[in-house]
Amino acid sequence: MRIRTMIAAAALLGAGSTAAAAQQVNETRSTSATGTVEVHGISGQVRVVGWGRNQVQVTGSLSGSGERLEIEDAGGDVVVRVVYPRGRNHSTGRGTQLEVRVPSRKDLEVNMVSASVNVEGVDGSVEVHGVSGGIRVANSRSREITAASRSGSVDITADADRVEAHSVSGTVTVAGSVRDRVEANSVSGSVRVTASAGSVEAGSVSGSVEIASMRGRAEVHSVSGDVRVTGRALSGSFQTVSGEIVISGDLARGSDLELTTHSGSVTLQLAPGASASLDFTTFSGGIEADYPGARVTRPSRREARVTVGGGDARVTAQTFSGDVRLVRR
Amino acid sequence: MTHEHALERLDDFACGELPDIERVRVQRHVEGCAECQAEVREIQSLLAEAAALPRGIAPPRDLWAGIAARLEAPATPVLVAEEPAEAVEETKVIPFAPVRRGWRPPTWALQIAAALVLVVGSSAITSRIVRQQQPQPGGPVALTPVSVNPAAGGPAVQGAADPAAARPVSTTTPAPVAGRGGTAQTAFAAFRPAERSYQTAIADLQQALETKRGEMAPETVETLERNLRIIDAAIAESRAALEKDPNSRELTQMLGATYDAKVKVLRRAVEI
Repeated sequence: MRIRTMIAAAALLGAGSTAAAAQQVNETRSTSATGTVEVHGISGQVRVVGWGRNQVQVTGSLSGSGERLEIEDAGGDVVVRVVYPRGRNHSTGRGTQLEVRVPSRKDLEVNMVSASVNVEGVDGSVEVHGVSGGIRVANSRSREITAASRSGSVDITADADRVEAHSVSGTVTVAGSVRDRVEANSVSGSVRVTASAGSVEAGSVSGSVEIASMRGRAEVHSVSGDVRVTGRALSGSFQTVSGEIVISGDLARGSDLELTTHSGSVTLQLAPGASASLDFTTFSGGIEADYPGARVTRPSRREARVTVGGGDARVTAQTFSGDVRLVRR
Repeated sequence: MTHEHALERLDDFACGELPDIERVRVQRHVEGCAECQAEVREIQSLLAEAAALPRGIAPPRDLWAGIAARLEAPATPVLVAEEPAEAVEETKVIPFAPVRRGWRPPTWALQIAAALVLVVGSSAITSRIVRQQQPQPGGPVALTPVSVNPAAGGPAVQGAADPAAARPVSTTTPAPVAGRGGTAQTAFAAFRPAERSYQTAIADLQQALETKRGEMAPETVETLERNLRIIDAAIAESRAALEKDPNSRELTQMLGATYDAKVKVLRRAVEI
C-alpha cells in the first residue's frame, strides 16, 4: 500500500524531465531529541545519518527544474520532503543527492521510489521503503528496523531488537546482532542472514536462503532455491519443494530439527560428538548415514532411525524423492 | 500545507491520529479541497467497514464438523465418528492483529485473512490427524480391510468382502484403524477435509493474486508461475503415491507440507 501511495504521489507530483543545473541545499532546523523524522522523495540518493545534536540538517543538491525542499516540524515530528514540479514524472541527471542528519534517537521513516537509501547511526526505529533503489542500514542500535524494496537489494547490519527485510527481486542480507527476531524474505532474490538472532524466519521462492551462525530457532522455506544453514545450536524447521537443504553444525541440546523437501536432497553435517535421535523418511529417495558410531535401524527401505551419542536432540527429515544423508562435518 | 502533504496525512487525519497542530493544518486544507474531502470520506467508509468486521473468522462449520469430531475422539486413534459432533464450541477463532495506526485493510488483505484462518486450522489438524494415526502401544488394531468408498469422495475404509483387500497396504505404515462402530479410514481419507480447506484457501489467494497481477513485474510473475508449477507437480506426485498407498502417514505429511509451501508462496505473492 505504501509503495502504491508513493507511486501515486510520484505521478501526482511529477519530477522534472528537462535538464537543469543542480540546486545546492543546506538547511538546518532545531528539533527535539525524540519523535520522528520522515524523508520523502523519488529518485537519486539519500543518506540519513544519526548525530548527537537536536537538529535536523539537510545538505546536498536537488536536480533543479523547479524541485524544492520542504521541511516541516510539528511538535518534534519532522518531515523532509523533496517537492517536484507538477506535471513532471522523473528527475533529471543524477536526481536528488541529499544527506540528512537527524538526532540519533529519533524514529526514522524514509519513503523513496527509485532512490538508493543509506541509513547510518540511527538508534530509534527505522523504516525504509523503496521501489527500485537499494536500501542499506548500518551501524544502528535500533529497537526495530524495517526495510522493503521491490527490485532493489536490502542490506542491514545492525544491533537491534527486531529486523524485517523484504525484497521482491533483490537480494536481502541481515548481519550484526538481533536480540529478538529477524524476518527476511525475497521472491527471486537470495536471502542471507548472518546476524546472531534470537529467532529467524527467512524464505525465498526461487532464490537461495543461507543462515549462518545460527543460535536461535529458525523457520526457513524456499520452493526451488537451496537452503543452507550453519550454526552451533541448530533448531527449527527447514522446508523446500525442489531445493536442496544442507544443514551443518551442532544441534542445540534437546532441540528439534525438521527438514522437509519434496524432490530436493537433504544433507545433515553434524559436528563430532553430536547427540541426536534422527528419523529419516523418503518415498523414493535414498538414505545414507555415514557418521562415526551411529546406530542405524532400517524398518523399511523408506525409513531409517539413527541414534548418535545419547540421542538428546531430535531430527526428522522427510523427502518424497530426494536423498537424505547424514555425515560428519 | 501543500495538497500533497495533506494527502500523505489523510489516513492519520481520518483516524484521529494526528497531533493537534497538524490536525488543525490538515483540517484547514481539507475544508478548501474537494479532492481531499472525497478521500477522507473514502477512508472513513473503509474504516467503518473494517470496524464492522468480526474480530475473528471461524472456519466454516461444515468443514470443521467432521474434523472436530475426530479430534474430540479418545486418545486412541479413532478417526471416524458415526455422527458429526457439535463442533462450534471447539472452533478456534483467530483474532486479527490490532489495527495499525492509519492502516486501511485492502480487499486482498481480508481475503488472505480468511484464507489463512482456514489453512492454519487445516495445518494444525493435519498434524494432529497424522499424529493420531501413529500406532500406539495397546491401542486398537485394525481388523477391517481397505476398500474404496467413492461416495465419501475418497478411499474411506470399511469392511470389504474381498479377502485380497485385507493385505497390508504398506509395510511401512500403520494399518487403517478402527473407529466406533468398526469403521476406520486411511491417512489419505483423514486428510481430505484438510486438503479441501487448503484448496479453498489456495483458490482465495489465487483470486486475490489475480487482482494484483498487473502491478507485478513480468519477471516476478514468471518466477511465481514457474515455482507454482513445481509445487503443483509435487502435489500431483504425492497424491498419485497416496492413491496407491493411502495409509501412508509420511506421504500425507509430505502432501500437507507441499500445500503449506503453496500457501506460503501465494501469501507472499499477494503481500508484495
